[in-house]
Amino acid sequence: MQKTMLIVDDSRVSRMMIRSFSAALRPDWRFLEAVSGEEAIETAEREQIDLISMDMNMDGMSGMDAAEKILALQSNVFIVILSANVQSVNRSKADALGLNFVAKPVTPATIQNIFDLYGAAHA
Amino acid sequence: MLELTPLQQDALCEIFNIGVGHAAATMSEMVQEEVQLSVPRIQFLSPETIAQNLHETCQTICSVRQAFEGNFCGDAVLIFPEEKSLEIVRLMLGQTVPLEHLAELEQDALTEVGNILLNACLSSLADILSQQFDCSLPVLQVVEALAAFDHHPVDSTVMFVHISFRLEKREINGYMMFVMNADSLDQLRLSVDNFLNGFTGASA
Repeated sequence: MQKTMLIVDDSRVSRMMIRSFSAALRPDWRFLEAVSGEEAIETAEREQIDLISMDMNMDGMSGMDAAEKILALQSNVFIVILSANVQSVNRSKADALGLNFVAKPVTPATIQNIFDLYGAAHA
Repeated sequence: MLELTPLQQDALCEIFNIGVGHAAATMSEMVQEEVQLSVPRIQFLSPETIAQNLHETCQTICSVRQAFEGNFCGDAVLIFPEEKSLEIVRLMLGQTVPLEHLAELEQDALTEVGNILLNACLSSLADILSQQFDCSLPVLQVVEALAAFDHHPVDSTVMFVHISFRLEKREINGYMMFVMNADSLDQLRLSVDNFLNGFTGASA
């Protein structure tokens, strides 16, 4: 079955980059986008999602809170917090929720890292 | 004044968010607690407009300046209202330094905040836009708001970056500015376009 990745970021440039680098690595995947935590939850209510790259600092709900709510909807979804907010307190919060943490900037290597983490968890 | 497309604007905002995100991590290690820093928006304004706007909110400002040189060059400046500057120092050093020593450490501490923030943002600009900058050491000045740009040419343009800075649930707003001439702004816009072309394949 075709896999689906949801890209959550309030920056259009970031969404474009994440999508472009991800599609190059996984051309057979389907990609959805959300501009906020709220929109990500709405998407998770109607779509089966395999992987989420989740920005943290966004207007409205934080990515961390959205991730927690999405996990309550779909416990099997693999969520990676992709953020420039690299303080250890945020890495610990992500750890405590069982989320992975990858630091921005968005580069091909960063996105490869996300798919490596996903692959390792689904080997 | 320089007009950017929404995509160019978004790219610059994201570059500065990555910069302040890294600066927040460094500062958080210094104060041993969470520091929230974000860049809500960027504007391009004339020095006179900014000096006038600053003057309306505070008479005297505390600024940390650092010159940068590369394909585009100018002055990177971090500004806080003067009355907030001691508060920032207290939040940074409060637990470890006796109160009577705070004032004498104020200059050092603010210069260090400027050094961390300005360098993090210049590094983010350099890395993401594939540039290289030589930077001078940061210099702290307390000046009248109206005189903030007196030593810059009148035809300079300022890329005005709003920063919101939260520590211990207190919110302090500061501003970061990149004062550049027309040639440098053209170079900046060109390098943003080159960066965007790298993954859109089309001009922004």
